[in-house]
Amino acid sequence: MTHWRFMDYQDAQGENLVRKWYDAQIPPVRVAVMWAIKEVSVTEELSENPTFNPLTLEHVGLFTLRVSPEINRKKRQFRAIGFWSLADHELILAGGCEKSGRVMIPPGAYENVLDIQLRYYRSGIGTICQHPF
Amino acid sequence: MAQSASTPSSVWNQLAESKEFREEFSAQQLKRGIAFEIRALLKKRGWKQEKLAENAKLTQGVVSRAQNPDYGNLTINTINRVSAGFDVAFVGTFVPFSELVEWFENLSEEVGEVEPFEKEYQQFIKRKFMRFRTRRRNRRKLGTRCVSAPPGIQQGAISSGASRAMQVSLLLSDAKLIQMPSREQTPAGMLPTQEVIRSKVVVGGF
Repeated sequence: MTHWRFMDYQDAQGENLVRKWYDAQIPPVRVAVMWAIKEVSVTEELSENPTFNPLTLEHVGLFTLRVSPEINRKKRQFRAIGFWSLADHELILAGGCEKSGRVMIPPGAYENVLDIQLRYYRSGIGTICQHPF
Repeated sequence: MAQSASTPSSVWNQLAESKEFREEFSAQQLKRGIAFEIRALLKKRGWKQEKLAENAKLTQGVVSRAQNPDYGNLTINTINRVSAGFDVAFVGTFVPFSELVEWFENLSEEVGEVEPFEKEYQQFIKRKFMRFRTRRRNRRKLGTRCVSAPPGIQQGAISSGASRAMQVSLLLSDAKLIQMPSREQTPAGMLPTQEVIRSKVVVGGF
């Protein structure tokens, strides 16, 4: 049973931002993100799922899906980033990054998504579509 | 917020992309799928990690790592201990990708609804008992009908079509337990009498 619907944010030009990031990743990252999305979508109580991480402080309002696929025998940290619409039980993905210590690749990934949420999403700029899996 | 039509790229399309993707997809089932199931089972039973650790003879740390896909790799031994802790079986088996995709698509917290052996066994015994009671009741019912036949009148002669059909179906359902009388014992076209049935019941088998 699906409890949370995952949506993708598309900007005013129709570009699916999370899809763009996702497609640029290698298979282990893509598979891990795919499973994480599926797993979280069927979890009733999000706080019970260690993959789901609501952000705090300057990034409050955002969430990340934490995945750590093993690449060349080394674990690397990746994050799918989004914000939620609690009323509709929707989780809207708007980007992704690799986290290496405190460094984000691409830099400012969290800030970009926060910007999308505050400046564009709330003003009704862009569209959202159902996440494809 | 406006919604646009999505262009779904199914799991199948991605699996078809490369062998590496398939390999990873299968590996993630072991890693994430099992961790998810452990969490679902704990939730369903209302257990804490400590309780599972105690039952599984593991440390709480191992249970904590087992239910978190981001920590370490689960060993077969740990999976075995965890399944023993829940008193359920774990089936690791090779399957085609279609089965894995189906599993992925139908993933839900209901995977935690796995009964422990004790509960399952109680249900098994209860079912057996109910079946035994129904059979015994049916046999009694059949016997009463036969006994109620007036003396000197053949059983088949007084049975209505419906009751005969019922008698036949009961006899067929108990075919393993009752040896049908031979032609010499029963006149052609007649159902066996209560005495014949009683004498032919094979005791046991429940």
